[in-house]
Amino acid sequence: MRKRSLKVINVISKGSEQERIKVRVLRSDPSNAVKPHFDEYEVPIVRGMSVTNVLSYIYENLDSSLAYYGNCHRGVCGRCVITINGKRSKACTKLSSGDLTLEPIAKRKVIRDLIVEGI
Amino acid sequence: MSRDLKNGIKGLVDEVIETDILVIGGGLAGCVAAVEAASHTMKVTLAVEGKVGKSGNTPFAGGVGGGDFMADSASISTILGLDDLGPEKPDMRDSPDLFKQDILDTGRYINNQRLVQAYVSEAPRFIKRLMKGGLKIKAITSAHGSRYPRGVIVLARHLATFLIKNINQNPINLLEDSKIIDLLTKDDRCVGAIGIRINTGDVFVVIAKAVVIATGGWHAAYHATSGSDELTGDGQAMAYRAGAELVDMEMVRFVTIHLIWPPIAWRDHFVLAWTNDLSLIDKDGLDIIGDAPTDVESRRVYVTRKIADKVADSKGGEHGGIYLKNPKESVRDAFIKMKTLMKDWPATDNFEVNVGCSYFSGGIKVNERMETKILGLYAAGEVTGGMFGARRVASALTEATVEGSLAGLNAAEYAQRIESVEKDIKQIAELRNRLFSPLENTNGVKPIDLKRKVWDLTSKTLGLHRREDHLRGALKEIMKYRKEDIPRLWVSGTKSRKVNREWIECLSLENTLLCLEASAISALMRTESRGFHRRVDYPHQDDDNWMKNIVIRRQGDQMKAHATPVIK
Repeated sequence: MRKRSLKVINVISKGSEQERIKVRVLRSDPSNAVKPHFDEYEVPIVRGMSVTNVLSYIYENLDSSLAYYGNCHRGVCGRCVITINGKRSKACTKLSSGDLTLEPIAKRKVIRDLIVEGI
Repeated sequence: MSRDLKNGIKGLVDEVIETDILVIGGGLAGCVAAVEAASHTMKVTLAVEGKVGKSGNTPFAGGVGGGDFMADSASISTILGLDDLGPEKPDMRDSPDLFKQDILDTGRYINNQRLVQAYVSEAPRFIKRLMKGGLKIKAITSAHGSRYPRGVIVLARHLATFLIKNINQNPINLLEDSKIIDLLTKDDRCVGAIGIRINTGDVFVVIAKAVVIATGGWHAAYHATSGSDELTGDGQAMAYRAGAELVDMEMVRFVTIHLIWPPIAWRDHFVLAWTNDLSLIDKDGLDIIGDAPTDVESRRVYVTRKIADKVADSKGGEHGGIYLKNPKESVRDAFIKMKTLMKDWPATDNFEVNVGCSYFSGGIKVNERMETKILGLYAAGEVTGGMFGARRVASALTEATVEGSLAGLNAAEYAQRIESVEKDIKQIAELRNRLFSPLENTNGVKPIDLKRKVWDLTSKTLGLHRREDHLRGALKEIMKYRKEDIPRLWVSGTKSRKVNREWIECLSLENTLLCLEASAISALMRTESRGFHRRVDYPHQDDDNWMKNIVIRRQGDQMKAHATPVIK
């Protein structure tokens, strides 16, 4: 089992009024000795947002250091597969509703944040 | 390579790879070129930005269900032997000459006819070779409304596995998640390339006797598009910088309506149900369908143009598109993710749509041997220009197959004649420094902010509604972005080189904007409408003045455009 620090080190928010969800992302950078830890973000949500859209919102507006995969955005290339609230799924075809916990898929060597080897 | 030289290069970069032929791009054209070159006992290296078979636009050719190759109907019978596959029967009245005629008709006679000749005469032989390599054909149809059954249909999913298997079965050095950024040249010859290993951020150099570029289109310039993120125009841009020419860059295909809202729907194009209930409205609530013709094809053309006109006049909705009312009833043929979405979608909530770009007819100028103007530099597939002229209907997978095979073959023949290649250490040092500049900049322009500006600009000015004032304004903006914003791009999040999305975006944007400038110059110059190129201020085809190609070449730091006679 990978050791995980559950300490929230980073809560960032932007904007107001809209419905918001809490998104916890398991981050790490093994070769730079950054141990796995959760960063938490508040993301305004609209109807019809995928998990990839949520990650893109974070990358574009809150934290551009986030490493995640998005390429075809149509559920075909399969490279965006991660663990979403405990279940393995393609992020681009998964509708987001409610708070999210996002982790790299299990049993793979993590390259950085949500990106693993061999996918 | 001498030890001193090799050590000199090694001091600059993290990895040096020596090969005979470097192929760049992991779609069909790149894979076919690599396999072809390897069959001539050449040492081949294939560099792919993502993964083989999952890269570029190949997985989406013909839609998600099936990819379509094409050959003339008679050859489907005599060479491919697929008379009984169904659902349609090959028709012996067809011939390569008739197929050529149709491609020229569609291309409005500005096609490079030597490329078209290669396409129609070589397609059956090369498709047959793919079949021998394990490609399974599922059906013969009249794809794209061709006059005889010319569509040779495969399962898209099978095409990906087929490519992976063929690459693995051949002695090819495969570099996945490896983005080539620029070419190495010495005395007007191409001698390799420099790139980044995306997962580690390591910089690598490939020393090669010949290079084949097969990197696809520059879809990233448009927000509404079917192209994957990695299609950023790298191939066209690096070829141009090395001294190769670009042709027909104004010919961008906008035929499908794309969903741009809700966010999950982005990248999906879909078929509207052309019922009387279909309702598309602009931001003022005005219906845009109005008196559209009733037959489906004319109605589709009318509606796509209307959408483009409204968007160009800033009559788009909140997210820049046209509102689609009651989407539940109107979206008929959608990708899988849409089915989940539609289940709970309230009837009162609108979608937004825009006309999306799906294919680039223009690109690197090649001859029928797939040679560019630079010795040792070849190109194949969508990255090239000239085959389809002003408009494409015939299969892009066949283009990739024929051009990929020819590029692999001719690059191998060329490489066999080369003893060794010379390297320019100074150039490698300069390119390496350029790669690192966004990481080293400590403030400036964030790539996502520039990308948003570019998307807004292209949607309004360089889509299906083009006119002089818009194009002049767009060109001025693009030149300003290239001059002022590109050198100031910076990686603001993390300086870690591992899978650094911002860094990759900075390097890609430079290439996308180069393609856009070439496209805007050509679109402004072509004062007529022809095929994909629709000028609302010059609505008619002007054969007296414009039965020509526009060629772009580099003169110092300047981009120069010339109209040239069609190659027959």
